[in-house]
Amino acid sequence: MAHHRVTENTESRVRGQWRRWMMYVLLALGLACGVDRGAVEKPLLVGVAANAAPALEEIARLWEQRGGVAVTMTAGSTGLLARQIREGAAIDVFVSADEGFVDALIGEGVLDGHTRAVYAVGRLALAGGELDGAKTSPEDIAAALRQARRIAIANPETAPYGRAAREAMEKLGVWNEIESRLVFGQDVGQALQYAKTGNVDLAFAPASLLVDSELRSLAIPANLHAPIRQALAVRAENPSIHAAPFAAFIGSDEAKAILARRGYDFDTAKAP
Amino acid sequence: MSVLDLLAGVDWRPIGLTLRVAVAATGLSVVIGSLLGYALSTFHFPGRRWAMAAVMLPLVLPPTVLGYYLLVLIGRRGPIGELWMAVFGGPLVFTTNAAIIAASVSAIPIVARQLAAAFASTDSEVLEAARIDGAGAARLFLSVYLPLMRPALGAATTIAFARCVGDFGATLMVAGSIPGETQTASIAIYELMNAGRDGEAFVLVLIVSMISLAVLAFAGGPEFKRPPR
Repeated sequence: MAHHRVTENTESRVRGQWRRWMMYVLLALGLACGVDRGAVEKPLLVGVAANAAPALEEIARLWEQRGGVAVTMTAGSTGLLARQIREGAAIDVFVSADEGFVDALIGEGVLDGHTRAVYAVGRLALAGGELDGAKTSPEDIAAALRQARRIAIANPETAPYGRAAREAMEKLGVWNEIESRLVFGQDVGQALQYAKTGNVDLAFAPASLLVDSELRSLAIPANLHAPIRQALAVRAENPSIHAAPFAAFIGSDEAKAILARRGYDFDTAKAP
Repeated sequence: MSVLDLLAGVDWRPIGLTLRVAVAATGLSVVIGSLLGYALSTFHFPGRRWAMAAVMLPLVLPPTVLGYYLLVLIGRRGPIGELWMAVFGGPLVFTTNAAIIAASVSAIPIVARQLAAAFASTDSEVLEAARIDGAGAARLFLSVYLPLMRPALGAATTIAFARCVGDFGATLMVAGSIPGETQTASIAIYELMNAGRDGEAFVLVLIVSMISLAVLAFAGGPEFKRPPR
C-alpha cells in the first residue's frame, strides 16, 4: 500500500512538471501567433536610402511637430530596400537614392506612379582622415585615389552612390588601377564608417552624410558622374492613408530647406 | 557624453523585440524539434541517416543559404508565403513572424539532436511496461517519454533560446531591419555600427552578452554544475 502511494506521488510530480513545460510551450506559441495581432494604428513606415536617412529623420520630426502621424524608418541601400518592397515589406513610402529602382517598381505595379517625385539630387564626396581639402581639381582627386591603400565605396550594384563613385573613377581614368584596392560596403553608411574608423584611407560617400562629420572631405565635381536623381514613391497596394501626405511633405519648402542644408541639389527640370 | 546621456539615447525597442522573438522562436523550435527528435529516434526507415543529416543541416549552413531557402519558402511566391497570404491576408516576409521563423530554424536542430539522443537512451523496459498496460503512441509520448525527457528538454530549450537571441544573418535576409518590428538587437547593433553610433551599439552588445551568459550559466547542463568530489 505504502509503496503504491510513493509511485503515485512520483507520477503526479512528474506530471506536474510536464504540465509546467507544456504551459511554457503554449505560452510561447501564443506569443508567436499574437505578435502581429491587435495592432493599433501602425506608424507610417518609410524605407529610406542610407544617404537620406539623417535628412529624413529631421523632416519626419518636423512632420510630427506639425501634427503628423509617427514615422518609423528603415534605412539601407536602395537596391536592398527595393527588393524588400517587391517581396511585400510593409513599407509605405520608398525614399530612394535613385530613379531607376523606383521606376522599375512602378512598372511592376508595386509603387504608385502618380506619387513619384524627384525630391533631391545627390552630391558625391570623397572623405578621408588625411585628405587635403584644398586640392579639389580632378587631377588632385585622381592623385589622392592613386595614393590610397584602401578605398571604400558602397556596392555599385545596389547603391546609386556606389555606382556614381565607379563612374567618377572611370572618368578620372583610375578605375582599372585601383579596383583591386576597393572595399565594398553594404550601403554608403557602411562605406563611410570604414573611413571614420580609419580602416580605409578614403571613402566615397554622399555629401549629405559629411555635413556634420569631423572627417575631411571634398566634393566630387558633378560632371564626373551621371546625376544622382533621388526619387520617391508611395506603395501601390493599400498604403497608410498618411503615406501620400508625408510624401508630399518631403517636397514642401520646409523639407527642401532641410535637404539643402544637407548638401542636396534640386531638379531644375520639373519632375513629372 | 556621460553614461546617463548614453543610456537615455539608446533605443530599447530592439531588446524587447529580441526577447519576444526569442521566446516565440524557442517555443516553435521546441515543438518542431521534439517531434523531429522523436521521429528520428523511434522510426527506422531507409535513408534515416540522410534525414538526420537534413535536420542537422541548419547548424552548419551559412546564414545566407538559410536565408535563401527561407525566402524561397516563405517569400511572397513561396508555398508557405502564399498559404500565409491566403489565410492572413498579408505577406509573411519582413514581419515579426518572419523574424521568429528565421530565428527558430537554427534552433530546431539543437532541440532535435538533444531530444533524439534522450529518446534513444530511454529504458525500453519502461516503454514495454507502458505498452503492456495499454498505452498508445500518443499516450506513450505524453505520459512516458516527455516526463523522462524533462532534463534534456530543459537543456535543449535554454540553448535554443540563447541561439534564437543571437540570430542575425537569416533574420536580416527574410525580416529586414524595421524598427520595432523586425529590428532585433543583433541587427540593431549592426545598423548602429554602420551609422557610427558605437556608444549605443556598445550598450546593446553588453545587454545581449549578459542575457546569453546568464542563460548559459543557469541552464548549461551538468558540465556547468559543481564537479563531484
